[in-house]
Amino acid sequence: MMSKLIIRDLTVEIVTPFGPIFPVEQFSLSVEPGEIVGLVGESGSGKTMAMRAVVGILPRNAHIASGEILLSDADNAFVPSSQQSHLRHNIAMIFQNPTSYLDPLMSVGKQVAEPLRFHQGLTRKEARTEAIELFRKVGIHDAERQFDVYPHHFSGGMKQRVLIAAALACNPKVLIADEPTTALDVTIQKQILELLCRLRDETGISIIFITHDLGVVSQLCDTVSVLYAARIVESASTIELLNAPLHPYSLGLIRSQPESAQRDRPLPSIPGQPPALNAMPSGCRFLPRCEFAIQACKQPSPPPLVQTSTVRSNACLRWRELQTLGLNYD
Amino acid sequence: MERFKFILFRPLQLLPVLFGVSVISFVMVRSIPGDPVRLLLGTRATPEVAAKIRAQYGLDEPLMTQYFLFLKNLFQGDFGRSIVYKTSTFNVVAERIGPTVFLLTYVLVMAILITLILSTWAARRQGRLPDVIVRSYSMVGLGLPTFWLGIILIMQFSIALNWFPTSGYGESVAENLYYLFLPAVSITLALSPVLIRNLRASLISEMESDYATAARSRGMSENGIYFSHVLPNSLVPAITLLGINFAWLIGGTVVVEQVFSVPGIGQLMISSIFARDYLVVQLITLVVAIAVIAVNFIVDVLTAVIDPRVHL
Amino acid sequence: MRAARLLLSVGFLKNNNLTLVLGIFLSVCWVVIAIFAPWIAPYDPIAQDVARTLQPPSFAHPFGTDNFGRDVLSRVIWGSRVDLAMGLGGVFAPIIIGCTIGLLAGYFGGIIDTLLMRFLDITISFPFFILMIAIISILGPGLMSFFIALALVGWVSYARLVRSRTLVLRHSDFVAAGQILGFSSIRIMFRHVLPNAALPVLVFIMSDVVLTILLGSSLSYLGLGVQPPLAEWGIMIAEGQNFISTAWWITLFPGLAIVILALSFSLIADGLAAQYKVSE
Repeated sequence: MMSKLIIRDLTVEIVTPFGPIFPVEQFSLSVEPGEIVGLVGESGSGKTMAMRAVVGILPRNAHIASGEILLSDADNAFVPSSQQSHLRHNIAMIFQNPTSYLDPLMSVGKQVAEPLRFHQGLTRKEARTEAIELFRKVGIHDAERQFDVYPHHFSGGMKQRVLIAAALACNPKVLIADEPTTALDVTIQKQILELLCRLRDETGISIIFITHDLGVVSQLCDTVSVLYAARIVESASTIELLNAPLHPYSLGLIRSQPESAQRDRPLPSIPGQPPALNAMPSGCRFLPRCEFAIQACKQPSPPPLVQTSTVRSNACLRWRELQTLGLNYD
Repeated sequence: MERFKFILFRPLQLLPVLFGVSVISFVMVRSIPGDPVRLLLGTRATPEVAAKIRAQYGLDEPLMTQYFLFLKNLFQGDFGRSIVYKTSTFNVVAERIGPTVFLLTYVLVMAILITLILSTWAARRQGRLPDVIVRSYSMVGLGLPTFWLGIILIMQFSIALNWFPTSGYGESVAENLYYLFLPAVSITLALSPVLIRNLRASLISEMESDYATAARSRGMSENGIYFSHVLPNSLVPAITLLGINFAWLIGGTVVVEQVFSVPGIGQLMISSIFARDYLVVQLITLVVAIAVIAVNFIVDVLTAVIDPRVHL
Repeated sequence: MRAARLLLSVGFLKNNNLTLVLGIFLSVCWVVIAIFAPWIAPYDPIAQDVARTLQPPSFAHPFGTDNFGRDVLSRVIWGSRVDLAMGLGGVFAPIIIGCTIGLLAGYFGGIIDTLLMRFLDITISFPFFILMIAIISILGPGLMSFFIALALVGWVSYARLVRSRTLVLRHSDFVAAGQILGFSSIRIMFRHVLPNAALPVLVFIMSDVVLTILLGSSLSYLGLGVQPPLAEWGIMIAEGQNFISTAWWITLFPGLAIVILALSFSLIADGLAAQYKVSE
């Protein structure tokens, strides 16, 4: 049973003694059934916060200030996010550092069986069988015996598979993966990515994949959204974005990937730092670091995200010129 | 199961400690200034009995020999004779150990319950009124002297309201529970602040942990997460802390037995000190030391049961 | 120089730390009361007045009088000298012994560490209180015996704390630098490692002062500590117990004094811990 996920103008607010800050501003995303969407950005750009808001696990001092999270059901009607717990197990999440996300006192099998018992009301035996099946699905061999093993006996890659299995135990329509391979070896990374692809092909689950690695994006994702300073600056299909980006930040990111470096020349990087959440400039937030900035970019509010075609949008005032300029990597 | 092998090995590691304990007990009594015979027998000692005692304890022998005699006597079950009670110290202590054990257990149960309830209440309502109340109590409570609490409780609940007796132990178990209620409350009120502070902090920290977040992301209820994940993970440091405080607990029991005239080994210890009944003092010290070692061992076992990462 | 910098930094970060400020304030009040007791106390603490025994709190005697006609308020004020001395003086020897042993064990490791830690294991197997009163029973009761017994028994926690900090710091860069430069071990230990381990130890010292005050007053209550007719809160509570139904004030006020004095140092301990985010 496929579902489409629509996130519309999501804004997250954190109240601090010095005033409110907004780690996520007007975040919009749509995910078709079976689609793999990439979410790219530097640390602090808001990608993790946005996804935590969607799953409902924001930190204590943060809350959703505005916006909608909608999931289509069997009749293609959209269920609003106000029905949080219903949504919660339709959208599951896996995390960056698998070690700390597993309870060290409980066997891995029990942790996968837990959501099965909670949501589907299975008995201990039924849940065990089901969990072992999920173990096999995520590629854990000797699943029967591994059920009773404790997390500290597992390698990083195995632990991540366990977390994926636990996420799948919720029978989700959408899986959010927050940099699941950043803490793992490259070889394991490949395995996990292949696993995710296989799951999508077999079950039709949609995946939102958070990463800062464009290489992974090019391998895995159908579409990609780029975040900068709590806002989405560009959204496009992967091929279009990587070949012809329409936002200076996206261009900078692509250029600074080691894979696209040229021999005997210094590795390009974007000069400067992203603005701090409590010191956001007015106008375009990328302005201080942008080589295409013009006077108009200094307007009082950030440029809006503009739909440039049915599946593309970006937030640069000069996108048309950049398109005709034919941005490429040099 | 293999991680439980250490249960067999740990007692071996404790042997040197037991050895050291016996040495210290021995040295303690031998350090008392004055004629040992008089110390052991009191002032009215006939020469024949004095000679017998000298031989039995080897009081004219070098210290090392005395120590081995001491150990030999220990293993034969001879712990010496009480001057005051005119019977073996073993009998004297055995008679009075009951009330103390009862009181200790009573306090442990009460303290564990109170700590669990108050810490949970405070941690799950962090920042709000219950939390403020519990935190204030655990702050002020650190400075509550057990003996003073006992007396205030007597004043209020025994004398003024006449709900409880002021002293004694009672006959049946039900009576024991009744007589020892106020003593147990005094100790609990003084012990629990430290335990609550630790458990509350652990609970809050575990509630914000990554694995709790992961469980929440799967739609688990807060209650489910609390009892399946947060509480077990918080118990390990809490149990360790309780083990560390067992020594304090014994001290509190000694004091409370004085306040409420409970006929346990705490009161016996104090009266023996004033009566210069040193062999009784020695035996009680030894017994309590062994109890502490045993409790620490139990704490280690419990920790291993809960936390699978622990091994030898 | 370093001391001055430390004081300045305390002033800077103290903004929200009401706990620390309150704790320091109360403690200073107590020290002032203790030092100026002869001038603050309205009556002589040991002066008896048989005509005025067991009088309830009144304007003349805000805390009432005891069974010898002595003014309770004055005795509480004078008692602060003894209890404060017990608390602050009592931790002195344990700190020195414990920190030294901890430093040695943590820094040199190996057989020294093993031996010292075995010794520590044995000492902590004896419940603190029982060992204290056993030692006091040998030495005879009194303030000196209290200090000696504490020195023999109370060093353990400091040793453990300093040892664990030293074990961590032993592998740090500045120690390696000192070794390369040829500094003697003693110099590295005392001038470099110890100051860095200082803060958690300081927090612990404050809590230990609280425990020592409670310990001292408990022992005095039992008759094994300071002896009458010295005005000390534990002794006062013991004397008052016999009159608890008729003259509750004799027991109540000294006890409250203990609680408030203990609270002052607890607040400092908590405030320090929060200030520098010390973990135990």
